Amino acid sequence: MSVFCDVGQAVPVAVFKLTQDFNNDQDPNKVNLGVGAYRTDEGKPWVLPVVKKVEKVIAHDDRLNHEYLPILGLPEFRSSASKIALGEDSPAVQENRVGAVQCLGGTGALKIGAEFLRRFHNGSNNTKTPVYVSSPTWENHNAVFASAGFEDVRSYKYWDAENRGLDLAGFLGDLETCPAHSIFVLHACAHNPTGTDPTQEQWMKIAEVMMRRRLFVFFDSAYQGFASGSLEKDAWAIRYFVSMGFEMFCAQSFSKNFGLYNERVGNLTIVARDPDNLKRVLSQMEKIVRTTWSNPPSQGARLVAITLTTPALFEDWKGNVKTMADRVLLMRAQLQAKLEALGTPGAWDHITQQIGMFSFTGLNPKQVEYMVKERHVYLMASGRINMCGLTTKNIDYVAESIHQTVTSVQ
Amino acid sequence: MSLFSEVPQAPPVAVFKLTADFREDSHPQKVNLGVGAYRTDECQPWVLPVVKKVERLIVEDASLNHEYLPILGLPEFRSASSKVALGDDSPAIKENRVGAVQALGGTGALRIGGEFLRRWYNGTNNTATPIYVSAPTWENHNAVFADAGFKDIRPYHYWDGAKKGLDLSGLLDDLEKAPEGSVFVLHACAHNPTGTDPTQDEWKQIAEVMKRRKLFVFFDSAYQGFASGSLDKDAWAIRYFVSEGFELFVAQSFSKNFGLYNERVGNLTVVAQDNENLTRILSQMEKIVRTTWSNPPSQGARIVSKTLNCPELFTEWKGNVKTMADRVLLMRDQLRAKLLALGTPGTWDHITQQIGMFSFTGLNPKQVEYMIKEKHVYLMASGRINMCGLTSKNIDYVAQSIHDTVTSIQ
Repeated sequence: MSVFCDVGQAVPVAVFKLTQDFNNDQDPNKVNLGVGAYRTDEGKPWVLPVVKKVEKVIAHDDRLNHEYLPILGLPEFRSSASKIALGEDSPAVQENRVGAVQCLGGTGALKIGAEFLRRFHNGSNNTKTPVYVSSPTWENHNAVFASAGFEDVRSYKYWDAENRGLDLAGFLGDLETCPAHSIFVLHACAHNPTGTDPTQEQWMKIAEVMMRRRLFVFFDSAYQGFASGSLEKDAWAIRYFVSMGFEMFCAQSFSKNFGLYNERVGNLTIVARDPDNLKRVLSQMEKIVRTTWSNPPSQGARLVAITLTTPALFEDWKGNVKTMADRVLLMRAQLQAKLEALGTPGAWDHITQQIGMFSFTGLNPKQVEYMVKERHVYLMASGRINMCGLTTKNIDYVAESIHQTVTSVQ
Repeated sequence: MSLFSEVPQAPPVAVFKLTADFREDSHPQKVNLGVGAYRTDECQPWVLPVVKKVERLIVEDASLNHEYLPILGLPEFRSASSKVALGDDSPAIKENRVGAVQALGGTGALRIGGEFLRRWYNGTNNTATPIYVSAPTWENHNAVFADAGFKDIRPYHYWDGAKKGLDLSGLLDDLEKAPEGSVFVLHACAHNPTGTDPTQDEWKQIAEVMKRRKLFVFFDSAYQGFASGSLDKDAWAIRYFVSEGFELFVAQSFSKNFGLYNERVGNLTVVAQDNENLTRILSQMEKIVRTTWSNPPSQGARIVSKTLNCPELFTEWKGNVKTMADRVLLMRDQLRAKLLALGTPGTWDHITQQIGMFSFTGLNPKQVEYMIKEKHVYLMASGRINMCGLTSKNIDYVAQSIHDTVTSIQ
């Protein structure tokens, strides 16, 4: 008898199951609009030219070795990554009250931040502090905070399906009525999966309530630069909150904007009131990291650090990021234009109004099923599509598929 | 008032504090026998020649990209790693009941294994299952299992300070008395920090009790190849237990034997009773990984995988490993010889009887303090020294320092 005979079979992660089904599909017209990774117009993964360049520099630099990084990670990575989010001239950085933990992608940054908050926020080991995630949100948010020990993970109103936009009133209402000290996970830009971000004015309203009600700000920033093509623009909300005096966490991912998905490059930026508080926070972060992965992997962090701190490479990188962002914007514009040209029922402005990698098409589950089964166009059950999956070669087929679906299935 | 004002300062990890103190010491003859990383005879970190070679192959390979690895990691890494531990011809592998989770070093493998056991072993979410770790053991074992949720972590007798060897009867007694289903963390070889391993005969006795009392076997294998110079010799205990029909976990680290400390290359090998159980276990492992780091980093796994899967590179690697193991053995011989030549009080056979990177010198805390403060020779408070810190240039000074210490301080 196995000691594991009572272990249940876990359901696969939806987005990876979708890609698996896509891979098994033989249809010549199949399109994968599921998993969130950038694709070129040839439908291929893209290793950024600047990344290829810096990898070669690293491989040939005989001064480098493989000795353990510090527990909190590569110092030059941590500081340059935080500066990217907060701005070179950030007063908080100058006041020495910004620190960071190099983490395993955005997921790792969320995990370490969550483990810290569960231990030290709102009392000690207060597993009852509510954690609010947007409705909808990235499918893993809930589980990361739950596995960190939080027992009460709830949703805040976000997506207004009827108006296909932000439900600001609902959002603000949840901020006003939630328990004090609740933690809110905010998407810094390019909201996943809706692609719908608050405007600057809306962010100001959100911040005002959060400050007054003492709610904890935990930004998830996975698309900086990728959303609008501008690093500054995509970091506006983070920087605004910092300027308003919040102490906060920001989980940064360099998976998308560096195309370094599999090297797990992330950074948990911490903004504290002063250096003394920061120091104590970082010392506890070390304890948490030590029992999770001990110290982080070097390759991706070295790559990002060298790129961010070398002016010529930094310019190269910004250009590569803009290339990706521009292609997405082009696909948005073209998809909307084609749907309008086809006379597809419904309004399709949201495709160009939404921002970042994803679009919440508004297709319902039955329509999604039709798209997948009849048209071999793979998208998430929520109606989310990855714009990067669109190319000049498949965009007509996808537009026609949406048209057919919307007219056949209600 | 800061949100973090109640967060206490955590004490630093002892071994890293030691290295920090060493760095600040300006004494010309200072020696660092603390942290566990290999050093050449010039006292420098060593990037294995085969690693440098493979890194360059990887960077020139245009077919590689940075797309996410599967959640469980690079398939060819996982299978090659498990084969290294269990043997190419392992019946368990042939029976398709061996699986693996690519993890962040040995720490990550222990953590994922711990998280799994806490959720699924000995009932569901049974945080009361006792976890036994050796007395003494690697300083992080206790904390990893505690953070995985286990409430009852206990020591098992291991080191006999009086005879400077294994306390077998104490160990066997703890095995006989442990609650049924208890989890035991066993060091596969090169016990950290004592360098004292059970003989094959002693392992057989240990296995007999563990099987009869239905105790869970969790091997920690961080030094395969590094201990004796032979991969097969260093894996004897693991393979014996597998041949005895145990279901077990092995947390493997490639930090030391590949010198890839900072790329975090580890593997949790899972040996289950049959493929059906294995499938369910791995599905649950995916859920745990997904909320910890999502999917693992590629660089280190690619290097190890390429090396293990290519006969020529594999042979080259084994040569590099033997180089390291042989230098350690040489330093062991020479240190013992010099202490005997100096007529240093006590017996010093244990230095050459012990195996692996570490030696438990037998120096007591007062003597350790003297070594550090008066001789500027840095070692752990337990008396543990890293043999790799010894070189032909400093070994006389270290031997003399031990001599002076033992004769001055009791």
